[in-house]
This record gives sequence, structure tokens and C-alpha cells, in this order.
Amino acid sequence: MFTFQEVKFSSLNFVHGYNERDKIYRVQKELYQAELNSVVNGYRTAYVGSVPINQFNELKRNYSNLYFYIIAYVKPYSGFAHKHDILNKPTPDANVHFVMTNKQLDEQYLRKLYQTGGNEYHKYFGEILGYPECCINWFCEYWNTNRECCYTHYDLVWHMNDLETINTNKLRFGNLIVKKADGYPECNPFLRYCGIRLITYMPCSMKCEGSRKFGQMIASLIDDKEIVQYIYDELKRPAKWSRYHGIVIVNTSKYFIFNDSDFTVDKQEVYINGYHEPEVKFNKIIKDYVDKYIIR
Amino acid sequence: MTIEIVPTYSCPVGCTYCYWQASWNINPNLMRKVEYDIDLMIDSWEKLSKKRNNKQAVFHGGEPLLIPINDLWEICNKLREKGCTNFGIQTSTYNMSDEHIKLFKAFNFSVGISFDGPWVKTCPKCLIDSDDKCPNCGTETIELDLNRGRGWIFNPKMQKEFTQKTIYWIDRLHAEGISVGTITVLNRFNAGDDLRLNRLLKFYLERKWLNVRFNPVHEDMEGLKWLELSEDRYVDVYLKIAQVCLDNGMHWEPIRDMQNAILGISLHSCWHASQCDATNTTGATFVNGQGEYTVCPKLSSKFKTALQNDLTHNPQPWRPSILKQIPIEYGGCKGCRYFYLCQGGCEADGYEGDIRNRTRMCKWIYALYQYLENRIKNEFPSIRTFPDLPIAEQERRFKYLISDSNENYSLVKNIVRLNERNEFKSVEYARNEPMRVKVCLLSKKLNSVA
Repeated sequence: MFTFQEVKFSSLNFVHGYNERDKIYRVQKELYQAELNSVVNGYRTAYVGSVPINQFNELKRNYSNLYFYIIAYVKPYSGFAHKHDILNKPTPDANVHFVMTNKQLDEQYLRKLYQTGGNEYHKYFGEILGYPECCINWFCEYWNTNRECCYTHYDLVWHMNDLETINTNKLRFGNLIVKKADGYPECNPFLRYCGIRLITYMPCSMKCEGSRKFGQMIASLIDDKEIVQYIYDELKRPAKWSRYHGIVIVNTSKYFIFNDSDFTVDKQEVYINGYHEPEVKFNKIIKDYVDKYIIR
Repeated sequence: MTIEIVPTYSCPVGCTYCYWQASWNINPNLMRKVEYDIDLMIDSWEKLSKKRNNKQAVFHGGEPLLIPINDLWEICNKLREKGCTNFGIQTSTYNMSDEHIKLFKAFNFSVGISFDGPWVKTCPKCLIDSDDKCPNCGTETIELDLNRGRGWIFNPKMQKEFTQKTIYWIDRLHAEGISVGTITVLNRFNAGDDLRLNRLLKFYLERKWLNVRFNPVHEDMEGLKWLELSEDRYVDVYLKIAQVCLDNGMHWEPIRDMQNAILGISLHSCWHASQCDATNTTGATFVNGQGEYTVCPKLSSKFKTALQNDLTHNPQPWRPSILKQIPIEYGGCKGCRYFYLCQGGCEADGYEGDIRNRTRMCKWIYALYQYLENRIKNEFPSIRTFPDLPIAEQERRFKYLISDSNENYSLVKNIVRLNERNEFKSVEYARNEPMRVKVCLLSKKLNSVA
């Protein structure tokens, strides 16, 4: 095999007739607030995030009754980061990777776990973040483990439980494997690249009851009910997730998301919520004529 | 690179392989709609023009000549007021009239005509046209429907008449002193066999003044795939075109563009050095009749829908960055000598209709670059070409190659440019008229930097 260096990118493009960028921005903002509120209201112990230093200081001021632990200074990034570039010394533009909790924790232990990584880290952090046990165990099993289908393993949707293979085909380069996914909208992680989600982690399955409850808890903490409805509508919408050559394309009838992912030789696709490929039929009049009169 | 204005998606011709097909199928109203708001279009053009620092407006379609002539005048006048200096149009010539000639002259239009070749009875041996037997050798002539793919495929009589009219307008526009060119899509009708290809090239050799662009047909729709030539046939066809072009001093694209690219001068064909992002296709951005920005329809057709173009999104060349890491056998471009001139090709041309594969035009693009490079090196054995540069240097210089930056000339600063009359010409001349550029080595010493 060969070495593959990740190329980070993320973009969202709308089909004509739709422009919901502002709405998606509002979704991201509301979800962030709901995540913080889930700790404030005691639904879970901790929130983990990476923000610029000034934003971190503001958070500390706003939530002075909570505990904040800086576990690393990392290079700034946008979008999802499955791993951080840790800085030895904080720079003016650095992000603070921190844990915000509603009870006192051992700061040294948090830092140590973060630096060593591994399943102990995943389990402890998963627990304080309030994730279901089944999802934590599933994540520990698949995260960055050496498996044949991918070069790296940080985009785990392909390994979710309860995905049913509905088609396989030989392509010119590699194979096409199509699976389908149905379940609770709260557990839909396929649109997370653009921030539309109700759970902030990878669920073990779209039928996971624990994740459903987590998603409902987050939804209940969003003040703007129009946004809650919008998130649910989007998460119920038929969509296709397609990963190939380290690029994932997710499309619904409204938009297309282009994002980096694990490199795969095979094309992996998941049809979500009863998605069907749009049919593009060749004009029948032309076809009949071509079949009848034109020598091929 | 280009800003296209699409006042209407509607087209009465309906070329068989038109890349709007998928959009029409999804939304048949697009095909019928001739609705536009001139002010919205102009506003959007102005914004885009400022953002891209591009004063060009190319009327595209659909068929832009479906727009009433008075509206075309109004649009052009307003565009000129907003700073447009470079007018172009891509048309089938449907509806073309003397009034349009006046318009083209007034705004110094470059007129591009969609045309795939004449519809004639030809002697298969001598390529002489005759309705009966060949006057030279007496062989029975064969009817060649080279322009058959260009619409009205189910009405040959109409198509034949239309082909004659198109040829009339090509010659007429030239006679009127208007810059005219054709886009010829190579398909089974005009390049399926050597006889058809030779007759097509004869037509263009008889019109040396014509700027011709030969594009490959790329078709993902079942039922139309047969229009495409096989990969090996495309290699034969493009090599033949290159040979005829260079031997006869023709100004045919993509041959001259690729020749310039090999020399590190410039590269303007968006479809084999794509820097487009699926969210912002910088190679060609379309402004439709409602002033909305649309990605290149060729790309939209791959997604079976009509995608917007987001100007606020900063295009990232993620596709080439990934393809250059993937071995050839997996659909990538790793190790390809011409990668930095091709960038994996147009994303809409990816194998099996997937933008994540390299272009399915790879075989002929590679063969053509190889042919052009060998030909230059045979003539000037000491010359260093763009692919001879170290990889890091190619990577650095590519962005200058596709822009109009003067920086790209640093590569060839040690190469003296001569035009066909052997006169020394300035860098500026070479940029403005790249097709006339010939290069020769002044001395080995001068060439040492590259």
C-alpha cells in the first residue's frame, strides 16, 4: 500500500432554490449553547471544547460557578479536528483545549489522559461527557484501529451497527459497497460535517436508545423551537453519504457537503432515511430514434 | 477564468450531449424558460467581475440568441457601462441575423459557434465533395453527417439544413471582420472513424482563420454513452489533430494551449487543469437570468441537479492534492509526469462520473502532452520543459501558469520567443498571442536556470 497524507477541507453547496447558510449558522450557535447548558443544568458532568484564548476567558467569566481545566494549547483549526496539533507554548492565535465541568476533577489526571490517549482516555472522557456506554465501547473498538478498508479511522460512520448492505458492485477502481441506514433522527450523524446534529459524538447505531435520549436532552435545551424543528426536518431527510479516495460527499435534495475523510480504495455509500438516486432518463423520443436509425 | 451569462437555459437545438441535459431532466421547465431580469444579471456580473478582476462577459446558454435583439443591446450597453471590455458569445447560430452582426461589431464580440463539421457527400478516397461520383477518381461518394450530434437528432433533414446555415454564418462572420471560432465536440459522428475525422480536419484546413477548439464528449447518461469515443480512439484522434495542427501552422485548441503549458508560458483550458472547487468553480462561473451564480453545468450534471456557486467560499484545490497521492491503478495520478499541467483533469470528467477519480480523458491528455513535448525536444534538444522542473518548483509555478501573472515568464526568460516571421517579440506579445509563439534556444548557457 502507500502513504496517504490527509488533506483538510470542508464546504457546503446548495441546490438552486435553497439558501440556508444563515439557518445552519444558527443551528451551530444554538447547539453550542445547548451543550454548555447541559453541563450548567447538570444533565452531564462536562463539556470539552477548543476555543481562542479570549473566548475561553469570556466563558470563564460567564460561567464562574463552573470549573475550567486547560488540558492543552493547540493550533487553531476550523471544522472537525480528530486530532490536535499541540503547542508546547501558547501563541497569541492558539486555541485553548479545555474541559468545563460542574464538579471538581483532577486536572493532572485529565491532562495525563489527554496526552496518553487510548481507550482509558476515551472511556473516562466519554463518561464525563455523558455519552452512552454502548457508544463509548463501540468507539473504543473502532477509533483509529488498523482495519483493511481504510487507512485511518477517525470518520466512523461506516462502522456503525445496524447498517445493512444493499448493493455491491465492481468499479473500474475498487468496489462499490452500498449500505442503508434507518433509525432515530436524534442519532443521525451523517450531516454533522456542516453542523446539523443533535448528538455531539459518534453513535454506535442510528437505533441507539441511549443516543436518542442524549439527542432529546440537547433538543430540549435549545431555546429557539424553530431551529429544533429545522434540525429534526433535516435529520429526517433522505440523504446519501458517499466516501471514496479520502473525500466524503453527503447530499440531500437541498445541499451537498464535501469533506475530508479516511482514505478508502473502495467507494462506500450509505443511503439514509430511504434515500433513492434521482432518476435521469434519456429523452425517450431521442432514444427511440437513435436505436432505430443510427448505426453505432 | 470565464464569466458566462446565461439569460436563458432554453435551446431549440438541444445538442445530444449537452451538459444541461441532466438539469433539464430534473426540471423540464428549465428547458422552456426564457425569463430574465436584466438588472439582476448586470448586478451579479458586476459583483463577480470585481471579485475576480475579470472584465469579460460571455453569453452562453441555452441559446443566447433567443433573447430579443433589443434586450441584447440593452444588456451589452449596461455591461459596458459597468466596465465590461471583453464580449463573447457561444451560439449555435440559431436566430442569427444581420442585426446580430451589427451588435457583434459594435461591441467587438468574439463569436464562438457550436459546430461539429459539415454534412456532405464525400469521396472516401479523395475527400472531394460531390452529390454523385467523385470527379477525380469516380468512386461513389458517401454521406457524412458530421454535425449529427448537434441537435434535432431525430430530424436529419432539418439538421442538414441547419448545418448549411451554420457554415454560412461562420464564413459570413469572418467576412464581416468579426473574430469567430468554433467549439467542435469530438464524438462518434465526426471522429468515429478516420474518414469522418479527415473530412472534419479538411473543413478546418480550408479555414485557417478560424479559431477551433476540439473538446471531447463526456457523457454519463445511459443511452448516450455510445457517443463518446473509446479511450484509445481519443488518443488517435487528438494525436492526429495535433500533427495536422502543427504541420500546417493552425491555431487549434487545446493543442496550442498545451504546447504553451509544456513551455511554462500559460495554460487556459479549464477542463484539463482544473482548480475548481465543487462549491466555487473558478474555471467558469455562470450568472443566470435571475442573477444567481451557478457552478459549471458540466459539474452540476454529475450531481444530477443544479448547484449554486458560492462566491464567498474560497476555492481549495483539495481534489488535486488528493489525486497526486493516489497511485494510477487506484484512479489517482501519483507519479504522472504531467500532473502539474493537468491536475487530474476537470472534476466533472472523472472516471465513472465521480469527481474523486482522475479524468477519464487521462489517456489522450497524457499522450498529447508527451507528443508535444517530444516534438519540441526533437526540434530543440537542449530545451528544458515545465515537466523537467523539480516537483516542488512545478507546484509553485503552476498557479502562475494558469493566471495571467507575469511570473510564469520567469521559467522561459532564457528562451527567446520568435514569431513566425522570425522577429523577436516581447513577453507581452507572447502573452497576448500565445499561439504564434515559437521558441528556440538562444544558447545552452541561457537555458541553464531551468
